[in-house]
Amino acid sequence: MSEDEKKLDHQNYGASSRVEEFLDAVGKKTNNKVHHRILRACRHRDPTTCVEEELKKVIEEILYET
Amino acid sequence: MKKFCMKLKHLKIVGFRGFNAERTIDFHEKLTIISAPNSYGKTSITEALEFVIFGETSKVAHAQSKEEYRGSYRNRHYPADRPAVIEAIFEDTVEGTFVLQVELDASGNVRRFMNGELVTEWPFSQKLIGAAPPFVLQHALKNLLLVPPSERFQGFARLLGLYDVDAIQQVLVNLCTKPEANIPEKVRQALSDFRSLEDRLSTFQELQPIVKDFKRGPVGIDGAYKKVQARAEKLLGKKLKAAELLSAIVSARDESASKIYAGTVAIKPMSPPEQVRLSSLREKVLAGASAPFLETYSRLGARDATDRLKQEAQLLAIGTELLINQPDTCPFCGQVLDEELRKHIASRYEVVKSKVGTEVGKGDPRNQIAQDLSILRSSLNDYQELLEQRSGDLLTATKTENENTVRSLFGRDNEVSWKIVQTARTTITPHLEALQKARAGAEEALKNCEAALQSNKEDVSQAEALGSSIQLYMSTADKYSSKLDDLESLLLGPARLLRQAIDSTAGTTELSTLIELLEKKVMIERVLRIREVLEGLKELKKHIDQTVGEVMEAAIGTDLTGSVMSWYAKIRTKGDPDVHFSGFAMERTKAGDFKSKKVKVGAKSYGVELSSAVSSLSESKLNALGLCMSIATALRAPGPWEFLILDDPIQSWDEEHEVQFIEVLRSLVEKENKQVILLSHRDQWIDQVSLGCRTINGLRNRITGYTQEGPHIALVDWATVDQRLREAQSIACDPKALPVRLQQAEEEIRIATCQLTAEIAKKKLGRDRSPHNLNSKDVRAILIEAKCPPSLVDRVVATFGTTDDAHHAPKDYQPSAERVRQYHGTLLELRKWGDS
Repeated sequence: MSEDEKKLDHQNYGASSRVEEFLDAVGKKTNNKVHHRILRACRHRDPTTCVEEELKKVIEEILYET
Repeated sequence: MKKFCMKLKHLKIVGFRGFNAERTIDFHEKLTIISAPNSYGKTSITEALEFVIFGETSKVAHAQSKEEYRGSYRNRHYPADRPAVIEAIFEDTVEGTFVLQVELDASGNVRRFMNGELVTEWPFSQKLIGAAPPFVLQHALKNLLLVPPSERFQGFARLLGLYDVDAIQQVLVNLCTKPEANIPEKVRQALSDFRSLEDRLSTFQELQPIVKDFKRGPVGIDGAYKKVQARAEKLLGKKLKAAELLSAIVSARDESASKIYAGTVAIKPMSPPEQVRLSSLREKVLAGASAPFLETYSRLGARDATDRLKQEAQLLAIGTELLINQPDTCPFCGQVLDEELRKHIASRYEVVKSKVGTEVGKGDPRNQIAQDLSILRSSLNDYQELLEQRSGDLLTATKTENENTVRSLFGRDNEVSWKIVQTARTTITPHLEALQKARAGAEEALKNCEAALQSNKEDVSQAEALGSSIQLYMSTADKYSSKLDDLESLLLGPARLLRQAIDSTAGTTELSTLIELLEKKVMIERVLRIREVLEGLKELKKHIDQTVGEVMEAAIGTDLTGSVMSWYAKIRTKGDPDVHFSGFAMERTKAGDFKSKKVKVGAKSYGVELSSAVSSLSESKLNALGLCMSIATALRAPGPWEFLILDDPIQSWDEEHEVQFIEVLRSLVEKENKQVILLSHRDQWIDQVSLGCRTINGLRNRITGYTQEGPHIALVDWATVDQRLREAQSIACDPKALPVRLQQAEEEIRIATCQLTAEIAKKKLGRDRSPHNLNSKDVRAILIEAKCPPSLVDRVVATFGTTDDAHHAPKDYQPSAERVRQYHGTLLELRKWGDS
């Protein structure tokens, strides 16, 4: 996804209040920072693509850490 | 957003599903019944309404193969050049009357119109999200109950408007259960290599504690490497500093292994420091072919001419100084100077001075150039060495003197690996030769430059040759490196096998394993962190499953169960065996956690819990349960509509339960204020419904036949004139009749008046008039035209006196039994006249 598409996605996607509540409830059950990153990503971007992107990002950060 | 509270008034269908020619249906504000034998087009009516509201039918939405339904919306006999049209008129308590029209052309393109204006979506489309559809459909019920518990969950989620929670749950669970699909290939390989390393560690009893530490994740890494050091010290029999640990183990291992074979067949991977060094050398080499360097070199020849000019300028400066005292004699040769010669000397001095000026102050660049060329050679040598050493082990292993040893170490079982090694050598050799040739070319160009520098014979052609040779060298080196990178992963397997064979023969397997642990420490630490992230996703999935279980249980628990139970109780009969639905719950594990998305439909037999309603209840009871669920959810998650369409709800029920269901219909209309549209193939039951809902006085349509044109729909009377007159009389004669009953009796009289008038129009005027569209003026006009006595006409029309055309009574209206009796007598008279 290009930067422009990401911006558009961000503008168009907004989790419903019910989904927000669901993500909040899941978030309260865990202290894991990676879990929180993945759940946070679902709030503002299309979850069908963003959760995978977020996981990749987390892994690449570890892999290429200097 | 506007508030919508739609009731259906009128539907026109043409060219859609079973409807070829145009057909229209009017709907009563409370109860409309449409009866027809099977396959006469009832479901096409439901589908038309689904298509108008949602843009597709639920049958297509849930179809396994949408391909099978392609083009099925349009009637096959309908002309291809005309769009199929569905027009629905709705009455909304806030918005008034509005018309939704959908056109579907032969290519499947859909156009929507609201009140004649083209729109992209309905203004209430946002309200559809999360709303339970207003359709109670047989196939939907089957999809909900007679499916595995996980699919049932999705059906419930849709029905309860929790589809978005279900959708995001699915996305997250997919990620948590199959994270490998989303990780880079490099990480996948690293994880696989690490698993293999753990397996090898496990084969040594002394190294198993290290595996246990790794299982603890990143927190176990320090403990693991302390154990590596301890084990290495024990094997080597001496205390070692951490910094010298690796080299000590490698030395010990190589010392023993070299008796078997000292090398490997691997392409040497570049360590991070080596990569940095290679990159730095590359820059230095390329600097030798850079434009500024080559330009400086090219200008060295021109530099000599400048030097000569400087010497001339110095000579002329001395001469000019001496001429000041003896202007007529040359200070160098004593020749007599005339005016012309003196001017020539002065002019030449000025020219030379100006030419030399720009070069004055600069040192001789030859030394610097010589130094640069020396750095270039050294960089080229180092660069070449680094590259060549990557393939050194492979080439050494395949040399004639080592070939037999290495091949025998692979053994017959690993002949394939040996062939891979040979192929790799064949592949890399021409690239290495090309690299060496390019290096020789660069060396020759370098030497030419150095020789020219020494003899002050530099020129542009030497610089150009040097630049070209370095560029050629670099492109050859890139190809060679790229080929090595390809071979590196290919040779990992054979190299590992050879290492194992050597270690096995030399007894150094454990040492090699320790070396691998130390060499890969950074990567192992990262792999453990990545593995922790991936393992952590299982925990995330558990939290998601628990949360979705909580959300669903909250939705289906007490409220929905109670609601379904109350509707189900209306259908139950006293004679029913006490084997019934007992409630919904999310399935749980023995530990009390929710099972992933599994909805349990409970049942009890005489108070004893059964495993599941689905497996325990009869088909008729399951059907009843499905109906009650749909009704309960439709009431629980309402959309922008007031209507509820029940499509053939009665399936495999006995007569007693069918009668019980009429109570459900009455409750929906009278207590829940729903506009109910009931479709059924059971004409006999429909008679019972209209009788059981006599006072609702709805509309009853009967599909009497079906041809290529489509269904033939006729509006039939809800009750006969006789039934209505009997009802009115019994109310009027009841001394305890409440005002509301008397008002209902007057309504019966008015409807009977319209029905009688329509019969008279048919009999005496040969004209078809629908009794449902008649008002007092129509009745008067028809009766006068039919030559009914004027006094009787006046009395008949007077029956409309206590209500307007919209059936609203005036504010001062007082119901009266006497008035009902009078009206009753008038109608008996009218019928007598009509029969005459």
